[in-house]
Amino acid sequence: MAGKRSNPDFLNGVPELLILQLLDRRPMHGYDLVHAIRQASAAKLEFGEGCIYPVLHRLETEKLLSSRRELVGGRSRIVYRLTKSGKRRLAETRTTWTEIVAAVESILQGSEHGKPSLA
Amino acid sequence: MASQAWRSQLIEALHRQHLPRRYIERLVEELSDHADDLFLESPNMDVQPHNDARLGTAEQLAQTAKLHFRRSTFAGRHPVVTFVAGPLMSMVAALIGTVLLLVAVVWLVDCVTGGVLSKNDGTGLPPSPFEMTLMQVMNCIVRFVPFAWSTWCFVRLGRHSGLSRWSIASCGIVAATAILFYSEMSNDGTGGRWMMGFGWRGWKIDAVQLAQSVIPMAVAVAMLWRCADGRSETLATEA
Repeated sequence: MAGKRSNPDFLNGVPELLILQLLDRRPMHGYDLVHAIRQASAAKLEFGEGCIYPVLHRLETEKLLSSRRELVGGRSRIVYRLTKSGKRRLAETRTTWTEIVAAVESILQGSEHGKPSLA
Repeated sequence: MASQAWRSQLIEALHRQHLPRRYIERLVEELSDHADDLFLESPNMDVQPHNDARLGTAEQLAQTAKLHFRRSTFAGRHPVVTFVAGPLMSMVAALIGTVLLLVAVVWLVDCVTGGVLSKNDGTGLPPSPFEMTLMQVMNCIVRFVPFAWSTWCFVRLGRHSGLSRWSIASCGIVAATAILFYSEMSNDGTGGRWMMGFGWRGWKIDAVQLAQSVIPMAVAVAMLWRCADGRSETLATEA
């Protein structure tokens, strides 16, 4: 995600995970997704909102999402859904993410391998 | 609300990134919808700064769009394989395809004309003027069509994947290979011979071999020219 509203670089890949997770709950359009991310993260995760669309388009090209123009609240919107491949990718990414979080947590907690050696 | 000025700026920025027209249209459409939502959310805010702050500036959006668009295509993920190894493989395939197609056409012509082309086979008689003309036409097609076709394919692929500069390299490779390709026809009185292949035969490059490379070379030069033009325009705008 670009610009001054970006989170640090090492959060690359997180927007994809969040998008897949949120779309697994229900189909949404872009604005809806941005709102859902902000609400779910208590505004901790912020980014240039427009940057969500290139990510959505890429995920759609990779057949992880499908899109359809629908009437939502009286307005015609492009609504995104998770595909079967998307569900598989979500499961994989969640596992990876959980492992990374556990590993980082273990270092932060100062486990056996994470402890700095004494000089 | 998506103001016309904001839309125009966005479209210009996306075009500068050489993204395909259809992709730009869809992105602008969705971003305009989003901008409308932002306006409905806070109708008293100044449109342009509000859009820039929430959506990102036109330049930021265009750069992100290009990054994700590239990542979504095979060519974007593997440009060297696509635009450097790709032309070599595609030219061999195009040459084989063209020859097979021509053989099929000749066979069809022979069938339709009741064996006009095959009646002298094995008799040791020299080919008729009609046969020689047909072979010359085929020779001409083989010498030019595969290279023109490959050039067209890679220019299109470059444009489609937002990697037009890489397709310049492809055109260069096609042009160099075209120079190395030879196809010769001869009639020794007992039958026509047709030889073709790739190879460096010293500096004995004839005019036709150079002509084979004219299309890819011209396209590469035109694209380089356009790139240089685009860069100077961007610099002028930035200044």
